[in-house]
Amino acid sequence: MSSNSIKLLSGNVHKELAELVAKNLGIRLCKVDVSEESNREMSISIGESVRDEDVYILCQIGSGEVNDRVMELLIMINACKSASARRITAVLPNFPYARQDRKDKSRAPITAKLMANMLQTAGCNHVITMDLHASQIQGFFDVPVDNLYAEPSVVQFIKMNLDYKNCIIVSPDVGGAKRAASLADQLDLNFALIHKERARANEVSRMVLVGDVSEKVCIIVDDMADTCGTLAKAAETLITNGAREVISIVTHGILSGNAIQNINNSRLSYVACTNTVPMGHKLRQSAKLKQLDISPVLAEGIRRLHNGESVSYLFSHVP
Amino acid sequence: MITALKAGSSAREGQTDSARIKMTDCVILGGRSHPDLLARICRTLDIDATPVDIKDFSNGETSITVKETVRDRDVFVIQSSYDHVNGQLMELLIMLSALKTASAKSITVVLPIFPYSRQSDAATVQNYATNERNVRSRYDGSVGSIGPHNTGHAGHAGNGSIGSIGSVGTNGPNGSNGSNGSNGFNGFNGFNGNGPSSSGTASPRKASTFGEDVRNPPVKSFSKKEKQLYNGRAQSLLQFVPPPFENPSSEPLRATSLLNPEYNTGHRSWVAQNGPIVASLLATAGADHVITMDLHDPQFQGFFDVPFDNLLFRPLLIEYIKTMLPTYHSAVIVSPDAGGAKRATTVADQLHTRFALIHQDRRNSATILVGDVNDRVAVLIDDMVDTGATLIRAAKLLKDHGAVQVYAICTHGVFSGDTVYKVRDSAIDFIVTTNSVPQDAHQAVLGSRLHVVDISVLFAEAIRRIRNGESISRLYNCAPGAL
Repeated sequence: MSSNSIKLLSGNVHKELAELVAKNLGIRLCKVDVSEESNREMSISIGESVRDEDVYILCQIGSGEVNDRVMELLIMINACKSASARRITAVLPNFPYARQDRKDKSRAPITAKLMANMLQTAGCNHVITMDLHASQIQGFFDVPVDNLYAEPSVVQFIKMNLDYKNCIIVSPDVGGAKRAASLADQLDLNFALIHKERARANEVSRMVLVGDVSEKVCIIVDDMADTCGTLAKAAETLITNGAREVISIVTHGILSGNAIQNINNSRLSYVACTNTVPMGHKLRQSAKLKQLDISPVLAEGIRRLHNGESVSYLFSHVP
Repeated sequence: MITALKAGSSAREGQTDSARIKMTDCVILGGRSHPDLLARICRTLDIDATPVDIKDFSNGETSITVKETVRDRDVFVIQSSYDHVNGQLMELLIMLSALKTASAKSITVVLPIFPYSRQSDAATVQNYATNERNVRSRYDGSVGSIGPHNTGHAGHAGNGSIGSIGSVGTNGPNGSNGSNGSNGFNGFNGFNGNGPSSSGTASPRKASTFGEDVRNPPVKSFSKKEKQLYNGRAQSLLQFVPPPFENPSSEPLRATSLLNPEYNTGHRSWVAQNGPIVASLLATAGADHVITMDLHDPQFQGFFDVPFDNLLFRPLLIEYIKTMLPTYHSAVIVSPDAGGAKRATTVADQLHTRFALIHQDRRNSATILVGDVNDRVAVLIDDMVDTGATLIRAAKLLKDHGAVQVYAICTHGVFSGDTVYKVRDSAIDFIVTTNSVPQDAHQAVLGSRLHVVDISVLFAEAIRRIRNGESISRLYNCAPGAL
């Protein structure tokens, strides 16, 4: 029996991405059994030996159940640690609590830092994530963090699905300007920016467009779409300013609350999200939703990490 | 609604003065799980709870802001856990982290009921046994179980809804699994005499091993002999189940592995041990001290590197029995399972009453009463009522054996799912619990049959003593009101 091979584990709730990654790696998912007590405590048992193996635990976090998934991941990491795994890598395509990454008010927690601490306490030796909301979160960890990018996949998607020469990349807020500019550079396109005045969290007040979008196909890019209120407003603003068509590509389609309604009622032609966040039935609820598979990137990241190869190739290339 | 102890209230007035002087620079706050307990503790200590703003974002993440300064203060955080344990635990962890970031001097976590305290302590189980654990899995059986084993367990393929778990014998294949909830000890229970073909073999074995089991009650895991018996039986019932790993080269394994190539490693499922990880997470988030009450496994204290106080409900419980049950001298204290025998005998010793024990034979669903309760009031003592199956079965058995009245005293009244209705329809005459978990909803269903003992006094006194550097051990023997 060979040891130190890749063992890919996943919880029971969202297995889709884990199965895709396993398929890309040409391996089977490790058997994991998660059951819930009546008070919703979890009981986890691992159905295969992980002794001296290179363990990867993929945790896909959907909206509305973040805390359950986090606890499941922590318990699973700890179970692998106590089962003598050689190395445990948490694969978190969508890092939980990434937006609470600073002390923005007095006596507010830096929950992203707490996540980092807890992952390490549980026994995590390495983290793979994708499009972190703020790349500084990598510094919260004392263990290596590989932040992969969806950008190459997005570039490929645009080149394959759109007549991109007539497109313009739009950032829906000032914070995302760098991301949009980088994508525009890759595609050799112009970019525009929408400046918004935010009244309260998840609510958008007034939008100002910087740049010329008339007669262009606008591609709004962002790292995260939650209630999609911003996206809908941005699309409205762009159409008002003469855009021919507006589409949106986001990495983490959390799509909570009224997101589906907002998308369906908006001027957006469609919203393409990667499958870092499980979409499930939402895909059927809206004809305007598209999914972009990033499992090859995660699989290649895992393979390279396992073999000790450079991961930086993936920052600019689609595997 | 809350049955406060009469003896407690007058003596408590005297303490309040000293508390007022000394508690000024300490801060008490709590999560959303149990505002009533927080208010009661604060009232006893005569200070105001510090407001905390807790809300959920639409994606399910929790956001917390502490509204008043905690800089250089001793902070006490009160959080119960029931219902949705993961959410409540994460809320607590985030709150601890907020307090730590906000420069609190020390953070004491007060957990009236400890989350994840009843998990199995067997590190490995046979793969087929893990399936038995999953009856109450929230997910459909086909998801919550491992691989092809599922096919054999017809009863588990459906979603193990809580509602299907009830008294033994009347149910389908899942019947006796309900006992796992309140036992919490192991996942093997579910195998007892409930398969369609099991009843035939059950009775002779019961006769031959009964005596031995009473002498050596199986507490937390199977003895080797029991395991072998169990394995042998499983083998005969479910042909595809691999034999244990002890003899990897034996014929049966090869035969089985031909049928099931996936299971030829003999690996046993590795069960996550949740106690240590919860302890480490609390410490990581910033807890400097942990207080809880009636921990299911006292060994949990060893998982912590920070000071840990496990308060006891027992002094209040004894006060309660003496006050509410004047005829207690003739009553019988009963332990509903072998695991709780020690808990019950301690109470019986202190009250100088008789003691009886209910034993569940694992190879079939028979429950056996050891001791006599005929024409007496029976008082069941347990640490938690969750699914209630153990208690309900025990109460029925006691009534069948001639008990006049059945009291059930459980420290933590979790009452998951529709347990409260099953308790209402059961043979339990009175159920006594504490407000470690909010009891309003349960009170509405059970009415005067539910007595709630207020434990805020106990926690308030512990907080006061910790804050003032006094000894806690007095609280182990004396009800706080009687100090």
